[in-house]
Amino acid sequence: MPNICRAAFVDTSPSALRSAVKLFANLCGFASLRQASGIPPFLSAASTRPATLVKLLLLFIVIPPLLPQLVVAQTGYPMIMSLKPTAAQVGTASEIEFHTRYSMFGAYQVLVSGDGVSGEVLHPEKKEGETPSLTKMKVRFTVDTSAMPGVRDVKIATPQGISTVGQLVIVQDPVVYETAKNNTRDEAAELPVPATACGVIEANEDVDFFKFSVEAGTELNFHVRCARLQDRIHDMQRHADPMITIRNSMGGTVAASDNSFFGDPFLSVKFDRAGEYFLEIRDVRYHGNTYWEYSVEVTNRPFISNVFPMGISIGQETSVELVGTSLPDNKQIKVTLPADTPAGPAWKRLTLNDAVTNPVAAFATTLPLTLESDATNTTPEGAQQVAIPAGINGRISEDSDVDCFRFTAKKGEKFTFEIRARRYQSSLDPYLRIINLEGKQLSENDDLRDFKRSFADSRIENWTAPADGEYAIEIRDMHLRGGASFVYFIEATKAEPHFRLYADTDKTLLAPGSNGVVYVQVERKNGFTGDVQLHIEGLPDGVEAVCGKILPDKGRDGCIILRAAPDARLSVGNVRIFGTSSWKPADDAEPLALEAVASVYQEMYQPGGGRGHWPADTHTVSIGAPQDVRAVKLSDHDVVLKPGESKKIEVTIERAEGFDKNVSLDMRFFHLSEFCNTFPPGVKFDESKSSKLITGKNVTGHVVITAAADAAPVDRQLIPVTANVSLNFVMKTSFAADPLWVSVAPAAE
Amino acid sequence: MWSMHNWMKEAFRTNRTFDKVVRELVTAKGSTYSNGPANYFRIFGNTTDLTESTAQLFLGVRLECAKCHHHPFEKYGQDDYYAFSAFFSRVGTKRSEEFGLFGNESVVIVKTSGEASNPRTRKRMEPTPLEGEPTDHPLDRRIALADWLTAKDNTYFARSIVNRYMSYLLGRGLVEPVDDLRSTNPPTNPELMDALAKHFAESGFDLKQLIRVIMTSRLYQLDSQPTEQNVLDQRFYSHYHVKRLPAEPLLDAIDQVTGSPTKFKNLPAGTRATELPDAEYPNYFLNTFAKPRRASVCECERSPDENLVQALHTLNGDTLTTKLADKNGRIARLTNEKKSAEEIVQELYHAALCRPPSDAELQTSIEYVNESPTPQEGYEDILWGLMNSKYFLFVHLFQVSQIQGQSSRTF
Repeated sequence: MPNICRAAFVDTSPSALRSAVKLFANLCGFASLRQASGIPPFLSAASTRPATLVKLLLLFIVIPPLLPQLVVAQTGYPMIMSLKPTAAQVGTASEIEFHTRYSMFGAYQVLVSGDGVSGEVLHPEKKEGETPSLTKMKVRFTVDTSAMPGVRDVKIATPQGISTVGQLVIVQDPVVYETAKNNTRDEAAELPVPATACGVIEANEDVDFFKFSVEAGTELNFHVRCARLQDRIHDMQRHADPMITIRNSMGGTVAASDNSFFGDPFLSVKFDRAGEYFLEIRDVRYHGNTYWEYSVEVTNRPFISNVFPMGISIGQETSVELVGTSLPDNKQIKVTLPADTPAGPAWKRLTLNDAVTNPVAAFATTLPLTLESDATNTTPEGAQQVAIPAGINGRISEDSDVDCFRFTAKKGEKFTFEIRARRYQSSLDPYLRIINLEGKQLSENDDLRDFKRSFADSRIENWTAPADGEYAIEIRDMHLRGGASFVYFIEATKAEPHFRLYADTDKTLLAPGSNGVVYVQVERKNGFTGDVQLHIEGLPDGVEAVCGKILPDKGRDGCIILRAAPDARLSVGNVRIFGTSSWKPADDAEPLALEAVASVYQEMYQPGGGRGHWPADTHTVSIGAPQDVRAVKLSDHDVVLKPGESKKIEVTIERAEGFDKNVSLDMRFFHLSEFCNTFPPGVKFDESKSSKLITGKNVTGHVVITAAADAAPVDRQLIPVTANVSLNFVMKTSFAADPLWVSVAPAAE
Repeated sequence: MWSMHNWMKEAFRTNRTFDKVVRELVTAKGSTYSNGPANYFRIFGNTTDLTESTAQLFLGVRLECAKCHHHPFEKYGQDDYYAFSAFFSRVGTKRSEEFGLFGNESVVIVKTSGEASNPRTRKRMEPTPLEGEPTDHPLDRRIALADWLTAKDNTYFARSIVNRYMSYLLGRGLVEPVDDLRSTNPPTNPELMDALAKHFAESGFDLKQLIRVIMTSRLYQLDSQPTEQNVLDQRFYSHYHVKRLPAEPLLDAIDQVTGSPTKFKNLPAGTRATELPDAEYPNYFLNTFAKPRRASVCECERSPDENLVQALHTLNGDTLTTKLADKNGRIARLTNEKKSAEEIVQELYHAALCRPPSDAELQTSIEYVNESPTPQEGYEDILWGLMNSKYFLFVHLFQVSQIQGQSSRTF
């Protein structure tokens, strides 16, 4: 490969890019510059353009060794900031503009969660003398008619790695994007309802108006998605707090809503008079931001927010009451969750008057169900009896309502109670107590916590009955509210030993011949103290995994080292990370085979410098282009320490040509505080004796591991050694070495 | 702040009865973003503030003295203070992440424990209304407080509210200061106070009805010109008590008359001063005319007194000058429309004083315009004069028409 090509792609100036593209076009046999104006078209369009597929195949066969040098060589962190518009209609294909940070140059695949939606990267036509826009790109989404409406996670695979999560709203009605000027009623954009109004609260003081007409007696629902979309993405900025107001033709307020579904408004308005009305949307504080896209579904169809009961037996026909707006007089309908429905939350569209409804949250369960009776159950004396295990369906039906359910327990029996409500669109902020029949509180919980995040639902885990007898669980709204939408489902089960796993984060970027690391954390429950062997499935071709384990007892963290083969090609895959353990709850007990799939949390760097986490659906592994650190090499991969001993490991990094930024070494995941540490108890990364910072063009450093004098023996614990490159004041990217196994030998007699 | 502001606007828009407004405030829970009244407990973040502010705002009782010693002018002692504060002893907050990682949402909650004690006697106080019997609610003590507070037979509540509205509309409350009702500070007209309070309670605490009753009363429509017999009276409503327009409506009036709206930072054009959600929108004119900083619940924050700075600002300050000369303002529009001098002067009088000019005023004005360097300057001077007149700046000033020999009112 001529140096000019490599240099050109390291140097992304227009002239250098032009030279490289021309040369590349010649190498690939492309006739025109436009065809070769990026690597992107023939990398991305393989699945949809047969003609280019052949050329792509040729590319991979003829010059695979050249590929790593042909794409941009720099460390990035592709971030999807917004989609414009943020909604796509079922049964249509539409082009949506992605606004991003860091280069999306070379984007080649679109990943969309769920079924029925696919995306194709559209590369900008390149004119002579122009460089492709790297932070704006278009994707053509095709949405099947059967696609489930709602929000989809979208990720874009690029040579710089898989992007952060973006949000696409699938809607039933046509999408109408705001006009360039619609900041007053006089300039309002026409909205032929039903429709989905989309736009952006683009700057401070921005107020968007849409104009629509209705007949007298028309009832419309206005469902906004804006804040929720932003809260789920990594964008390092403040988020919108939208507010909508419906105004009459004179500008008078008909109705207004600020927050209904968390930060997003919802309104249901019946228009007594025919005429022209206005939908006004703004940030409640009059703030704005170029990325604050919104969608407002304006429909005259029923909007179902909840069903009661919410917990539904899998495979059994169940009669449920619809809760929502614009509903028919008969609110009872039959629902059957298919027999293959997995237990857990199930968003389902119901059939109502021969039409399908918006997706409704139910909870699929195999537990025997109890439905709250009409009898008074506000005290333990009047409580309804349940036999645990049970799934309890109830509703806080009015202000200050309290529901109690009695159960019988023997001394020492352990129980777990988890309320599922707020996480599934119930209005309830539950407060859960266990009390005895005299009303004395034995345990309580308001908000539950999973990994590093809290949720408004309640959970009491592993509660032990102090004596044989009758007890009650008591549930109410934390704020003493009640109503039709305050539905809940309680899973009341015997507490069994188990564990939960959490993956930190939702993406791992690899390059051919390089390594990455996936960190996993465990929460042990109900007496489980065993170790956990980690596993990973669904890796892209050419990627191998070395799975570590989480040590027993107080061991909290484990890791998986991923390695992409030197000839691995650009590809991407959503993986399943899980852990297994064989554990004996007692010496004379049969071992339990335990397994848990890791919940995925994306990392959220914060503008002030912190690092937070937010739930995500999947962890994605991508193979991209070589980045600034090509390899991290260790002088030793199998270290055995004696108690009290230290050992030094030389670390050599391979820098990309021209890369002379500082690189810091680590053996944990550390960002202002420690997020992951897989060292055995008594063994540590001895920072003070290590040479962590590799400056300028230097390529060597070392890390030192020290075992305490009382360190317990451990056999081959997997430790990550990472070289970290700062992207900005806050963010960084890590590159991993081949696995390092650390053992502690038994202390000498 | 915005959720509180929007909740208030909705309450007034829908004429929510005042007992409901107060009940929602004192029993507020939940997200400070989603539930406006919950911000009451954000503004008053501790039991002391809640106790004293609630008593002053809705009962017109200044209880703060009784925190440390027996009230010097009233019957309230420390037991009364801490028994009243016990209503708020279980209020707390929790963090929530329902507005995202950066949302910083705060949620007001009621805890299952928490008491108030008299610090001197260490006696645990049962929640007790002022001059009442202990009362409680098993889930939230504040519900019992709201029940008592807004009861129709709680004369403190109705009296304190009607007294405030008398003050807002007539320039002086039946009791002054309006938020200091006590036996040693009786109303100037106890019968009127009782009658208004009774009417307010019987109307279901309907504020619009209360305003209607006051504004359609003979009292409200009295001449502001005193007679020889009542010239010294400042307390008994023998004539209308003239008062300057408060800061916000005055600025809005200037904006409307000049056709040159004030632009407040971070708020869209067209936002009026009366629509400002709080005191965080700095404006020299509003500060000069005593817009409160909202640092306390005391009505005294808004000084009704006129001062020299205010007079100088309307006479020589840049607010009026700039607005009068605004290229998109009323005068520019009128001159661009090539209207006659008579039409323009007529409109200026109507806009500023809600009345036509007298023949003499009209004639003088036209002559003044004709003698001015430019018509624009002439009209600016005329409007400047009208807006600096006491008929524009003051409420309810009786004006004797010099031309028609008839009286008319300006507001």
